[in-house]
Amino acid sequence: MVASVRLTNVSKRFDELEAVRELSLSVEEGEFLTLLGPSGCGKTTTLRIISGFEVPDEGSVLIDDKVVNHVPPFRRNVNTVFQNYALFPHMTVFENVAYGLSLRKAPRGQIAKKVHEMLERVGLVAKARNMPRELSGGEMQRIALVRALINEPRVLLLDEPLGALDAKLRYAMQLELKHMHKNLGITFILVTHDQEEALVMSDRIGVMKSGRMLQLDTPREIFERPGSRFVAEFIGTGNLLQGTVSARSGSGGKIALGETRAWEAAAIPDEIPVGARVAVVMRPQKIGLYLDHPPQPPAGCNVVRASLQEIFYAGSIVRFFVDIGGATLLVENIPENLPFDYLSIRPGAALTLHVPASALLIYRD
Amino acid sequence: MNPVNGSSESATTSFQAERRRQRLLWFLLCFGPPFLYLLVFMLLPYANILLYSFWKVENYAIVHDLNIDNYLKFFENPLYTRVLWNSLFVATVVTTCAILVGYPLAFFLAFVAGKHRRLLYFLVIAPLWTSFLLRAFIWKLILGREGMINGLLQYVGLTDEPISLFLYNQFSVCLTLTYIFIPFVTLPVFTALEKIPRGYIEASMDLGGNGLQTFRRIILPLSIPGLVAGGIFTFALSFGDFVTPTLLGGPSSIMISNVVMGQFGAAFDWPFGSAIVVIVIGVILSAVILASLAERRSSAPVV
Amino acid sequence: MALRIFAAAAFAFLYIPIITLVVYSFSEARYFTFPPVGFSFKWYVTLFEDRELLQSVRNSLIVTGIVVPATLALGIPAAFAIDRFDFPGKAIFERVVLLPLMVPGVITGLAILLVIKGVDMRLSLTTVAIGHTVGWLPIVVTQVYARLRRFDRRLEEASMDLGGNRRQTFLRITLPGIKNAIIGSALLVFTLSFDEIGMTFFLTGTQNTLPMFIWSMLREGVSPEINAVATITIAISIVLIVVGLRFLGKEKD
Repeated sequence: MVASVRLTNVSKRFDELEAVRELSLSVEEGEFLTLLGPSGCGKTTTLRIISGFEVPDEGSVLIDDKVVNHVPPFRRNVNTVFQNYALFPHMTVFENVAYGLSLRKAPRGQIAKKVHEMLERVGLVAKARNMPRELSGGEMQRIALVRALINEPRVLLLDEPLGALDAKLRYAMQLELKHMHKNLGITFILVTHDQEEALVMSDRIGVMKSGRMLQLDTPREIFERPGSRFVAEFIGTGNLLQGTVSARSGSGGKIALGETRAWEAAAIPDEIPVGARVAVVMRPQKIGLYLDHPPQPPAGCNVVRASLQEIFYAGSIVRFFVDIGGATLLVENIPENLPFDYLSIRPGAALTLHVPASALLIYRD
Repeated sequence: MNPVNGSSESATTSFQAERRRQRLLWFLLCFGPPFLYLLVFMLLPYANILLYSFWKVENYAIVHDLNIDNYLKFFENPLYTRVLWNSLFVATVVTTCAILVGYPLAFFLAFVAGKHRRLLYFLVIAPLWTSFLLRAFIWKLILGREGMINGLLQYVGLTDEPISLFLYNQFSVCLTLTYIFIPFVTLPVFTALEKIPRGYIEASMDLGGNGLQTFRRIILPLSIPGLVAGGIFTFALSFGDFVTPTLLGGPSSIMISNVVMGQFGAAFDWPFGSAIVVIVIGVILSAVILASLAERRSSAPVV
Repeated sequence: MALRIFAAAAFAFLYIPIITLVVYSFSEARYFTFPPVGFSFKWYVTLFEDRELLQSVRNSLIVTGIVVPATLALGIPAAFAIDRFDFPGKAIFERVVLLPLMVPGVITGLAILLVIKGVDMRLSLTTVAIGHTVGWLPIVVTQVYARLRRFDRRLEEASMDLGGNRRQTFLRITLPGIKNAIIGSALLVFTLSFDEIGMTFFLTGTQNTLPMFIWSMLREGVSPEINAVATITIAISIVLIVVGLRFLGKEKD
């Protein structure tokens, strides 16, 4: 398989700050890869190293199997959709999109034809003569996208491209980007701090922290089997509890959590011995909630008594905060799926939780 | 470590050295010419004047031995010190008056003028683009014996004879300079006021500040930099003006630049003239430093 | 309300003198009478027959013709140096460059005169232009630097990303971005240089610039010709301001 972009042991330092540390990454041709992490994690620096705006201190950058460490951005067949778009304010929409071609001194007729094609693709032919400041956020976003695509790059870099849009528009644009990626068949590398965006769009997600790549995997693996406590907490919402390993059996074992009896856990990393303190992460969506007459629990399911603290209705889901004796758990459910009328219960109500042993993610504390 | 890495790292080192060299070259290209120009035609002349001020004239020739006689001569002669005090007085009065008119005018433009504000702003700064000389001269027409005010007074029959009280005194000099320098204050103050987010003012009002408190605690402190800039220019330029006292001043309203010009012209005492120049620049620099100190203090939180 | 009345009074204070001047420039009388008598263009006619005056206008244009390009050629790179590079003494340079704006023109003119006399250079319009360039360089440097500071550097990155090399990026993105500041400050330098008298006073040789000519007229005494000169100057200034403000004003958007 041809690697479209490959970084090997890349490091970049700004004065005292180590922005990227020994990062290795191989992006396959046609892949949609997302670099995800909190601000300052080095994801944008990594993107700038690929686009050529930063030269790594160590390591090498390969695009299409050629080392490009010292190739300036304007000689790389890589284009970027900038954060806040960076549309040229003194040029019309047409001129913005045409810019890349006009730099290469392409014939005028060809430029006009290609720009028209591009604008058609995003449905903005009518805005060709407008200035960027006359566009809406979504329109600017689309223009920035086709401006970058007109050079037919091998790799498209997207730096927080949807950050400035409101929620509704963001969903629409996520879809549009995804379709664009499928149709073009080129490599997309996206940088974002929005985990949902990353989960929705990517073939693979690289989670970064303090300049290092913590985990690089498919969205499903990242969500279901986060490799570290940081990833588990950063992706999705999570309940974090402190506990102790009280017994081990095979790959699983038992965890003592606060005042409750020991919980069944399906998978405990091999290197964690009995008696070790651990962090337990549980997804709120994986917890079953019952008022009375709970059904027979399936095998390997923890049954826990709890009392209701607070309840929040959030439209598509209902959030419950429940006390399990010394600790509070967040449980989320879809209103239609609840086996009882959530409107009728009051704080203090006794509840039964079903927590599958596989839902306990165990990390060394 | 694999060979690809090794070679690209040494390439990185030489690449970065090359890039540094290129940046240095660009810097010298950008900065060199203006720096040299200012060195030769600004710093050298100012330094040269400083040097001259420690020389003296004997038998119509300049003697190159360092002494402070010129400064002693200046400060020992009440004729000269009176001119210095007079210039300081005029500059202070003009700066105060220009601020008293210019600041409220800027405030009016920024907060009250409404939809006409662009036109009115234009009207305030328009005079800055017209001849300084002529703006001074206008007042000769207005205040003079055959000027507009006397004409008007005689026309309505208040006097039969033209009154010569208006012109050729301290008053006419101050009035004219104030007239000239009002836009100098209004312009930077307006720019500063315009930059104040309206939210700050609303927040202050919302927190219970009345108009005056909001002005004193929010608007005034935030407009101090503009006020200082305008005030400094007004002070420096009115202090060093020679046009207005020549055209509209009387014998007693001679100012320091007139004396300087006399020394280099008729009196031909360059070293003494240079000493006065140094004193003038010293006064202006002190004013600049004092003002920026005051600005720093006033921008510190007022409790 | 009080502020409105105050502002109205202030505007009256600023403009009644100018209006008076314009009105009297069309008066027939040799002296000032109230109200003005008659209406004539005769003072304008006298002006255009005054060869000395026309020559002084030409001289002033020669000076500005040197000063405007010179301040731009020196000031724009200086602004870039301050904005894009860190160098020792940068903060001092930023302040020192402003000095000629504060120091009275006569004094800067004198200081330069002493150096010029020292190297036995002849006084001419060129020496005037040398002085003006020192005096008005800060205008270009500060205006262009202020614009560069607000200039979004990511636009340059976007251009390079799309394949623009450094020269293309400078010409097509950076330069258009600071264009208004350049034109605006050029107009300002033009006006200020055209009007300058302090520096010119000592740096000019036998050739008079327009302000020097007006100055000698003024010292000779009041003449209605001056009103005509003033009116023309005001008219030209208004045109210049309208154009200049359009460029400097756009900066604010």
